[in-house]
Amino acid sequence: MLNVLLFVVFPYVALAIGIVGTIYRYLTNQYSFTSLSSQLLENDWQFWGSTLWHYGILPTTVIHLAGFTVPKIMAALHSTPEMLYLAEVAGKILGIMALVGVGILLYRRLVSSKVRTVTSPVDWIVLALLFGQVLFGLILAFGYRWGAAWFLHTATPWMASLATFQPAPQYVTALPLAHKIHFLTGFLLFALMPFSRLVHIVTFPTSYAWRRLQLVIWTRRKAAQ
Amino acid sequence: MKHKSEIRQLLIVLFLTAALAGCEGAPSESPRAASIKEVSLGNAENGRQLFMGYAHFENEGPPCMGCHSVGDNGILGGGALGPNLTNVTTEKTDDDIISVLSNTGIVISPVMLPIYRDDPLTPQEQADLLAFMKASVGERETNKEWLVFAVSVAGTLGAALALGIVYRHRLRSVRRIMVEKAEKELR
Amino acid sequence: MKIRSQVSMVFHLDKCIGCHTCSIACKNIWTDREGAEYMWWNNVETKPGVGFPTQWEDQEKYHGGWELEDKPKNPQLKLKLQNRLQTFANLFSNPAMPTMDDYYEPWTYKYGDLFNSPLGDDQPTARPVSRVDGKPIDIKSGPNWDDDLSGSNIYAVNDPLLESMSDDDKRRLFSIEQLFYFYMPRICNHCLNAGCVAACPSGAIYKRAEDGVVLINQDKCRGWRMCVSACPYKKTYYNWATGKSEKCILCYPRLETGQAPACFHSCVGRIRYLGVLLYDADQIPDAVRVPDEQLVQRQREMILDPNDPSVIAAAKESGIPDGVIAAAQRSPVYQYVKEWELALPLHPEYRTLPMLFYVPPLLPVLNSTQENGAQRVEAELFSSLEKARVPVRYMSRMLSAGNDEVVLKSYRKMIGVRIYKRAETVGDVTAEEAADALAQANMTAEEAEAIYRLTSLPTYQERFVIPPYSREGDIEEIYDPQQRKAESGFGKSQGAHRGL
Ligand code: HEM
Ligand code: SF4
Ligand code: SF4
Repeated sequence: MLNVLLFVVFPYVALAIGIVGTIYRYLTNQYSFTSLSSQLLENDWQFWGSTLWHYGILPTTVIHLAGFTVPKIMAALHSTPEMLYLAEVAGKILGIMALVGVGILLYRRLVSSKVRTVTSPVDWIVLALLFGQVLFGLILAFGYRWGAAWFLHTATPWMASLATFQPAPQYVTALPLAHKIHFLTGFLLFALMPFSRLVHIVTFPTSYAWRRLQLVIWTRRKAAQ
Repeated sequence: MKHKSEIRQLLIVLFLTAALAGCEGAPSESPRAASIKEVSLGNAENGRQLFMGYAHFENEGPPCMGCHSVGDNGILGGGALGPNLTNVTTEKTDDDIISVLSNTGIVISPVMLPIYRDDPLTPQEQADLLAFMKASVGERETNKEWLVFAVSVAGTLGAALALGIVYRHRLRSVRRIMVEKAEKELR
Repeated sequence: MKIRSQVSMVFHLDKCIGCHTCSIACKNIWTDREGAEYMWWNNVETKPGVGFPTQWEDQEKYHGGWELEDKPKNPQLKLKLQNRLQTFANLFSNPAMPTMDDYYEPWTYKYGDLFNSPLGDDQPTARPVSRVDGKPIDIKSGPNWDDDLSGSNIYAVNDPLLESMSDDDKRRLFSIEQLFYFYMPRICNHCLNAGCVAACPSGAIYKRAEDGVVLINQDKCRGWRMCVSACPYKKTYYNWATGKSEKCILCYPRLETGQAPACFHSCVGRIRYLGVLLYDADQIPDAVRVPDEQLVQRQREMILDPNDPSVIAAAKESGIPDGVIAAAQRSPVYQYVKEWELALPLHPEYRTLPMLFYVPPLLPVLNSTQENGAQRVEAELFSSLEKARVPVRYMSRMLSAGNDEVVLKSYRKMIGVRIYKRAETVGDVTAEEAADALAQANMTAEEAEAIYRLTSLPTYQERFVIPPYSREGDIEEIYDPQQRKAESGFGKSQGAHRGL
């Protein structure tokens, strides 16, 4: 029963809150969509914290998503032990980068009084949860090798079962506690997205890759269209 | 003025993720346990290939080394989600092991159950694996955790170094450095 | 020909008295808010000096503006900051982001302590506290810390413009009898090829086609701060409280109601002129790709004669209202920039096509090799220009991308006007000498008279020729005006505040 609550109900609720909340906030309060950078106030630690963090967490997030969506390709990428080792070490490096990065981000918020003035309670919660999430990710990665292999046959079918509305929590319920904590915090963070600065993830400026550099807007012509 | 492009982007990503994640294949065929006769035909070398993932299971199940270690196999060793299997054949009967591998008997692993129920092992594969595990009994077990950790930490330091080099010209303080330098020269 | 209109500006540097009234007018209206205290959309710098933020002109440090590719055939323009791909890599930590210390940490005083301190032996004091974190601070810098050359052996000597100057020039700059300084009021140049617009990953910055004002859409800005880095003039600022970037809006709400922007309106020295320029937008790509020394001339060529019937016809075709064309015909900016070629763009080598032009300061015209006190200054004016108190090279580094001739031409005209008027009013110069001066400056007596009038005696209406706006009409076609009732400044019903 608890398993159904945690691995079926909670994920759906978290996804619903995350998606509906983010879209609602976007439509009603677009002004609040920003990463709330504090680089102006503190730049020395910010560079190391933010680059290590993002360069670590972004590929990691993408790899997780790829594991859910294209497991066949991901499996092909580590079809021999040597390739598996390569993939695993690369993943672990990204994870350590993210952990060190978020550690630095937490540290600078603690020590720099200027950055502390622009820190809200949600910022602390999110940073602490992210730290925990990455820490548990690394515990899985080092303590329960080789995640690249078992991920595709535990988390992936579980997510697939959620996506097809035929929930099959048995794929993950037998896993150790650390796994469960990692999964649940992941969904908790997703649910927190609309209530925190994490909304900046959806504002990734893809269109800059092709947009015209100079923008000139005629109010009148726009109206005429 | 409301802008929608970013939300469109989000919806596309969400939709693709859900659609692709939902496309996961259905179970291939129903599992069957290897018979005693089949077990006796197991080939340890084939079993090693399958265990380590050099050869692939017919139904595309994941290689055992993703979660288990056996002896000294693999440069960085096998997995650690499941128990070490070097001496498993001395602790469990053949029947029990085949039961776990085929999900047919009373002895099952709750973690492996859903995995190899979707992508079952063929009787021949079960037999080869069993033969491999038997052949490895008594082998020296090497602990390679420290090696994995050391390689990863070294890699992280390398990545940080690379970042530092790529961004070595980043804008640092202008005013403070300028004033400190000028004051030193005046003194 | 694609004609657009631009509300453009001229600042006459000879007239600026460095009173900072303009800065205060702007601050009181726009930037006296949390997160914006450190911004000076209008600031006044002492030159030589390091400016605000410190050494902003040193693009090797700040990476602002554009750069021409280093190849002989068909070189393309690119942002000095980064290309498109690098933009994505640099999103997480902007590698060319100035820190607050390069501007200054804003502060206030604990005035309350003067009243509330308990009785004691000492006078109570009002300690300075940071307006960021409220902690006591030791004030070590400010937005015009080197005002009037104060601390010149720390600040003025580090003026980035001095780098390329000869030792002789530098020595003259800093010997007591010879030194000079002047004021440089700066606002956003509302550029035609703006670096800030091009660098914004979210596409939140745009130019209003109607009047050319460059604005940041606060709803679309995501706080990546690339505009802060890419503007070579450092005229976009990051608001640390709201997480959005902000910049000078040329007081567009005032313009739309027929008033000059606050800094123009309040200017004590009456140095500021504002008027419409018509320009050919199709020429922009070519105009920014000529060699440095041709930049000023090429920019002038883009600006079209609003009295030319073919230009008027083309302007109408491009959708420019008659009222705007009429305003362009009376534009003081057109006269200074195009007709008289007196006013020059600030640092055209950044290739953003700035639309704020400066008339270079003449300052006390004094020959540096002056021998016996009282000599007749006027007769020597032209010959002494090369040795003038303000080294021409300094001005050309600033206003013509190093092309001395452009600056000299402007100076000759100004000196010509002086000699011409002196002959008329003081009489110690003969009429022949005056005519000779005009000939050397290549201008007519009428032109000299017109320059004199617009420089010295302009009325409010002559200084600010604001085109008629019909924003109500334009906006009505998009919004229901009723829907916008009771909203505040940025068109928002809620106050600006930090997101969650
Ligand atoms: C989609 C690509 C992403 C971009 C472009 C991006 C960009 C940024 C930027 C510009 C900042 C502000 C840093 C500063 O100057 O202070 C930031 C902060 C932050 N980002 Fe991201 N981000 C991305 C993805 C993510 C993801 C996937 C996560 C976590 C799941 C994340 C978590 C954070 C956190 C926690 C902060 C606050 C750090 C701090 O200042 O303490 N970001 N991000
Ligand atoms: S001066 Fe103004 S318009 Fe030009 S790049 Fe800077 S902020 Fe943009
Ligand atoms: S108000 Fe006018 S005279 Fe005074 S500093 Fe500003 S520009 Fe110069």
